[in-house]
Amino acid sequence: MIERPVAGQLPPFDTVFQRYYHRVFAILTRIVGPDEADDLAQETFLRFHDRPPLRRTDDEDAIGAWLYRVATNLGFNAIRTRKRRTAREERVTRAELPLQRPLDPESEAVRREERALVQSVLVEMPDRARAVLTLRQAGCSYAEIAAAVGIAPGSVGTTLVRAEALFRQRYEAVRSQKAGAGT
Amino acid sequence: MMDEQMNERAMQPIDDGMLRAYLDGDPVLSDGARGRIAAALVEQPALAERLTVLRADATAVDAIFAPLTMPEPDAAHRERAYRRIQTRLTTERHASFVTTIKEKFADMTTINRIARVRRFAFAGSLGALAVVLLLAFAPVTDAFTSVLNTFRYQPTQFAVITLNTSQFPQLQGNMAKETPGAKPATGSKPAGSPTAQDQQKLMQELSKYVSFTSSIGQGQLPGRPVKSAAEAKAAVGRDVTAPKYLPPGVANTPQFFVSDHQTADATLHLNEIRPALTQVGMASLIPATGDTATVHVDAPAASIVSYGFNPTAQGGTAKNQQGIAVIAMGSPTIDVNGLDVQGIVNTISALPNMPPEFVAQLKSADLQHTLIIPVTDQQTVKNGTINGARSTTISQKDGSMSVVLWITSDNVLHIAVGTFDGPTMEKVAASA
Repeated sequence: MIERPVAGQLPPFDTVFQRYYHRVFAILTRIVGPDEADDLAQETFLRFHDRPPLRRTDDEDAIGAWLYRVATNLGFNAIRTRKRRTAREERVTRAELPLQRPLDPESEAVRREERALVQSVLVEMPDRARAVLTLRQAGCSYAEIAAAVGIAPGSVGTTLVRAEALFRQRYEAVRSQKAGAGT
Repeated sequence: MMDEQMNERAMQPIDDGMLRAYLDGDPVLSDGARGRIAAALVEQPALAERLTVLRADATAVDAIFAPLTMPEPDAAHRERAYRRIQTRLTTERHASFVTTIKEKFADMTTINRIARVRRFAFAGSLGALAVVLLLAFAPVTDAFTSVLNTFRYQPTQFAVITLNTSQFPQLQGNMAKETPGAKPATGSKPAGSPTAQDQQKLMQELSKYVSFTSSIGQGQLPGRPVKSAAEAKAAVGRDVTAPKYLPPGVANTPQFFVSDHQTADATLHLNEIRPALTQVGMASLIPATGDTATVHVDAPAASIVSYGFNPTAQGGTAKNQQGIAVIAMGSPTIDVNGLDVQGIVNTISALPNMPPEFVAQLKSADLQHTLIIPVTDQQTVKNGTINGARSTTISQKDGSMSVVLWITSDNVLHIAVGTFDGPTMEKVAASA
């Protein structure tokens, strides 16, 4: 039943899904956390199904880049707009599609707090910097990052170093602020 | 091209970007560039120190990101995710089907509402339109199990199904705002209400699948004025149900109307419907064989007595009208032939995106003998008795309008409707 992607003679949907799902999921877990990552990964592939990129078939890197770009945008949009906050909180408690997550509620609460902190810093960073950082954290190669973000592969390292420095600086600032507010 | 770029860069001073690529072991660095960096690290302590700093930074960032790290999805996870996408692609087609049902319902509700607004005194149409609504919410019987059967529906009681307006957006904001008797503003239409063109288009699309012949709603609404209660009685064959109590401010001048016997027939062209349903994975909605199925609606004549409404009033006069009307009609019947009505309800109930509370209400009612009254959560519902007969009162939350429904032992369906709150209209009903 799932067939659709034809534009520009793209590979079959199944092939693309099997090849890229884990990476798309990894990107999204780092942006929105595991609870929402599944939904947004689903959304990413649905977009690929419904509105596939107009690229050539044999350019598989371009397909990956397209998927990563869509996933990144969806992820940051989700955080920024906070549209799904309620649903996400509800989803944490639901049993459907169980993910591999710790059963200890206390440690899970800490993880969620940490995730929220990281997300709050990421969402305020410049688009390119946060995309490079997130994609790298998800295990993308420099070439994949370059294609997804639209920069030269040789610039990825420099952009990444700067992005990490900026992220760390802001993260520490927010963390100190929170620690100060807590005392 | 990447190698060329990096080789070109290899001749340049080693910067943080190159060091970071070296640290990551990324293939963006050519072997030559990697070798050059390795040699430089040995020769230049400052560069090695810079690499150490970058490594520490990277490790620190990795540690921060650790809470967002999840194990790579295994095959089972991927399989579940794939199935969800598959389901969603199917669901969206179903969802559009559900949306069509919802839109159809909303359209019908709007038609009902507009009719009520324009000619409130002709409130006999409420009963007839309630019957029409039943076509959208097909009746069921628990005893009905075979695929092909004949089904007769005759309500002897009421059941209210509450629709959450958030799940039926087209209902939002309309019900509460309108005042009975008010004429819709010229040139405007309530949000979500269909235009004449919409209706025409909908009917054109539907005509491929269903042929309708109906006297319900033809020409003038199913109500004609008569001069007296006696004339109304002669027309409908029973006494007019007139209230003895009138709320304060309602003019004590009755107007009588008669809604003549109405019938409606629908023929479903199963050969046309079958491929469409198969396409959306819902072939089980109709029998696998057979060319047609039929639905026959029989709405007996009704008498209407109204006080305080002037059906020809316009503008502000119409808007400010205060009045009541009491309708009495024989219980309608619906005969369904060639459809698995239970199967239809089961299938519709199982559709994704159907509000679960709606499904629960639909399934819990004894639908063969129950007149289903869809209401929204903008209204309140109260069950009680009117002169010993079980009754249901539906009121706008702001008390601007209420309807009381009850069926007497002679199987006559009564509807008391007015621009007052529930208790007031119950008092009117009890006096009838």
